[in-house]
Amino acid sequence: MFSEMFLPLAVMAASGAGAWLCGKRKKFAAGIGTTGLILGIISWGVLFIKNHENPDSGIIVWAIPILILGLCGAVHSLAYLKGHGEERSNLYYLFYNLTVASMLGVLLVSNPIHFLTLWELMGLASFALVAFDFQSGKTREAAWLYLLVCEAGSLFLILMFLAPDFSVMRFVFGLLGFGLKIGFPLLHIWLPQAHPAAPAPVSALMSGAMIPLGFYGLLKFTLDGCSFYQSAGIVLLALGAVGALGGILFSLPKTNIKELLAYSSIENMGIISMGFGLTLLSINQDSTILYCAMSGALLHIINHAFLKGGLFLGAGIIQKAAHSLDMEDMGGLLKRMPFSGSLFLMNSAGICGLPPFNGFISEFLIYAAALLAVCSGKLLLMICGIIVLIVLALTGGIAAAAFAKLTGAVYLGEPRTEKAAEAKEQSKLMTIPVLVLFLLSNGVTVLVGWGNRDDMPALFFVAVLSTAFVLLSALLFWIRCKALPGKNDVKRGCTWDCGYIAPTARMEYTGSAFVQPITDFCRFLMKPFRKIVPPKGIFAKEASYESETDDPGLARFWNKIFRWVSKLSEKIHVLQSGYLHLYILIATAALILMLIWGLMLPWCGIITGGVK
Amino acid sequence: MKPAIYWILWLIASFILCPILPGIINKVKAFFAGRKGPSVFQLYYDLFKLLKKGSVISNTSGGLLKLAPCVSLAAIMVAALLLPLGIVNSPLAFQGDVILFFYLLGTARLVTVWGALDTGSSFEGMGASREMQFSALAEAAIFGIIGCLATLTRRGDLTMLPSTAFSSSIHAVAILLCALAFFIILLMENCRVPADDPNTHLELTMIHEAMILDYAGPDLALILYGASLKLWLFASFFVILLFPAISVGMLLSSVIFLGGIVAAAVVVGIIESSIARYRFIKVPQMLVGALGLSLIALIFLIFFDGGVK
Repeated sequence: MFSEMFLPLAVMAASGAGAWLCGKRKKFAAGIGTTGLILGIISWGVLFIKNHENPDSGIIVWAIPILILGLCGAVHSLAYLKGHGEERSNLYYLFYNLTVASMLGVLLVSNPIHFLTLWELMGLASFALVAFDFQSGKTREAAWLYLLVCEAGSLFLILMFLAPDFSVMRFVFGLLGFGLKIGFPLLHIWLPQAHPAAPAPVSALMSGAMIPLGFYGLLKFTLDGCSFYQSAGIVLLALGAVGALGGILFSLPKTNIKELLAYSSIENMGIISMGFGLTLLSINQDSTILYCAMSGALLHIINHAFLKGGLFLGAGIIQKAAHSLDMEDMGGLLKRMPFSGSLFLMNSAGICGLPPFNGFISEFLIYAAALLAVCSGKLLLMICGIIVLIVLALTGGIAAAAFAKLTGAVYLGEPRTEKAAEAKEQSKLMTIPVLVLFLLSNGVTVLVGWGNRDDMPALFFVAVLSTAFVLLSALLFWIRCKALPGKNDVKRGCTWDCGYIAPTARMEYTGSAFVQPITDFCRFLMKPFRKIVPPKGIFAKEASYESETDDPGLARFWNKIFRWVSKLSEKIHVLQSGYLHLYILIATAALILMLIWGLMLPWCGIITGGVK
Repeated sequence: MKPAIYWILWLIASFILCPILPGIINKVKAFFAGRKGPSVFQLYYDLFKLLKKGSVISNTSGGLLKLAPCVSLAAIMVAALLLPLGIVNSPLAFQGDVILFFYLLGTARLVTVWGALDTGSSFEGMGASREMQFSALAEAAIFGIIGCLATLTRRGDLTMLPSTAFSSSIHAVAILLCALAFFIILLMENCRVPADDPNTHLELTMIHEAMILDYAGPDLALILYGASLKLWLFASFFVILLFPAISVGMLLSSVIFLGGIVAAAVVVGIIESSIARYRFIKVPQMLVGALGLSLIALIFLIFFDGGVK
């Protein structure tokens, strides 16, 4: 159907291979790899526009993030790789191009074998990218976990394709297989480890474009045409609610920038999942709710890609400028890097869903669907609507706290280390992609608002009022700076802080301190490990407070299972005695058992009444 | 008079009249303390004085300190465009405007927090941190109330407020519970006792006041004006929720609206005079309590009202 659209993918893969063959000539590798990727992406887009009347053109929702983030990430990598494993950049471009090509390929095929092959290729190629900084032990551990998760996911997908069409079993296996990619609660454990380990452009690509592909698979292979969409909707809604709340709650105590962003991705996937859940619940009930929820969920995929992509690329800039990803090492970067800093701040407000940025418009649609569900007067829809309303509100509030912490600790206040004090604006190759993503994302708001002015006036009003808000802010700022009598009487001084003479960075509120009230409030849930040395005596010499919150899925669920499995395998280990004749005995015994089973089969058939 | 013109007049009146509310509250507090107290118009004098002054900007600031008050005030002013002021639906009302209303206030809050953190001050960090914790919980309670009102009126926009009708005892109970829950939110969001104390400028007990320690001159004026406008909006929300639109003519509904807002301010003043500020551990309980009230109202509506299939 889309056969000629595989050609650009072949171009990408071939240029990746070409880059790899360049070996140590890293400039050639970067040139060939990036040129091939850009050519491939542009021609894919052109071919898509030519084929836009195709019934499968809904894939554009998933294709836009891949195309745009693939492009921006590639440009960003050109500068990011300098000093970050530059000598291996030929391998980087090989796997980067393969990842982008296989992600686009996944969207084009519907045959199970082709799909599984491309899905597996996508997982393996991105595994190589996660493991790019393989010298660090933590990276190797994260990459290993990611590989395990990919393989487990593929296993479930194979089972899914074996299960009969439209069956509940197919849906359950799909939920497990694709859920591992999406990061549903308990299946999310790889995200907070893989994202900090991977290079920034790869994190952006994976978080913005690859994770939502799970929803594509789920919709296409398990829900298309099934009959139990109501229960499936409830399952998606419940998973989404837990994922959204849990994801953002556990992002709070994290001090690694990219780890916090990874948890925020889990939250956003939860919001999208709630949107799809509401969509399924309102099938045959109310078409307005269906349109609102569906368009909200789909738009949130695109919005999240632009915003999270911008944030991860921004994290890459911070990493290059301050040589760290730990936000407690930073502070005051906005003053030193005003351009990329203000973009990061605005993207943060966007990802919290605050107007006037585009994150609001997709959350607004899901909210509106929930409100309509509440108004519908049908009990199930009403209860689900109320749950979505309250979960979205709570998630939004906590997300604002998490991102206020992130931006406050990194960009505002005084620098806490010398490295942060010396931070400078980075290469244009890194900042321009972030700017492009920011402009595109807010273009979406205007476009969606203008395009729907007749059939959905609410979106138009949102866009108009958001614009009014921006203009009014600018007007007030102009009045404040230019039109008031005291405009020339501006003194600079040190922060007053209730009369301190020389406030230092050590007095500043740290990120962990900023979120401590919420993490303490939720202690029953988060179970942080705390080490407190209280001040003793009148002239206390030392006092300290440390706290660390482990991932609940890993610490309280998976690690127990892993331990149990390793105990079990130790017991089975007896079989591996090292004696060849024992192995031959086992093999023979197995063969005899299979023979007996084969002979018994016709008999069993007679007993059970001829069921095959 | 057309409803739209009437509404615009009320919008302008709101922008002009809002600084009177803190004055009324202070007057009530002074009355209960046996003092004469400052004039009701004190905030106007303060604003004029502050607007004429110069300002001091911290060396630490990266620019947000100066920008935050303007953006925050702009967000609150745009939010005002959506409320059914004067108990007449806003001409800008649209499906889901209630979400934009509270999210604009959320933007105002985040920007204020940024302005506070921009100074690198420990006090302001503390205030910002507490503000973020309490507002996250308040947000949940607010949307619980909205869910309840939407169930009651079958409307998904702010016209739900004037449509609440005390048509049956169940409805009356639900509306009163929602109003009570919203009043708790009003006290918290506008930093009044018992959640916060607007008078304790130099103590460890404050939330909102701690965030604006470093502001002076015109910036402080913008913040004070924004705070009073926000109080006006919350008080109008509360009043319109309690007094639904009835066809009594514009003059009478104006009187009800204005009288209701003044009465709300008086009640706030009485509460501030009669109870002490809660400890910080208690404030989240208060907010979760507000969420609980709205959910109880919702259960009433779903299970005792015949309307739900």
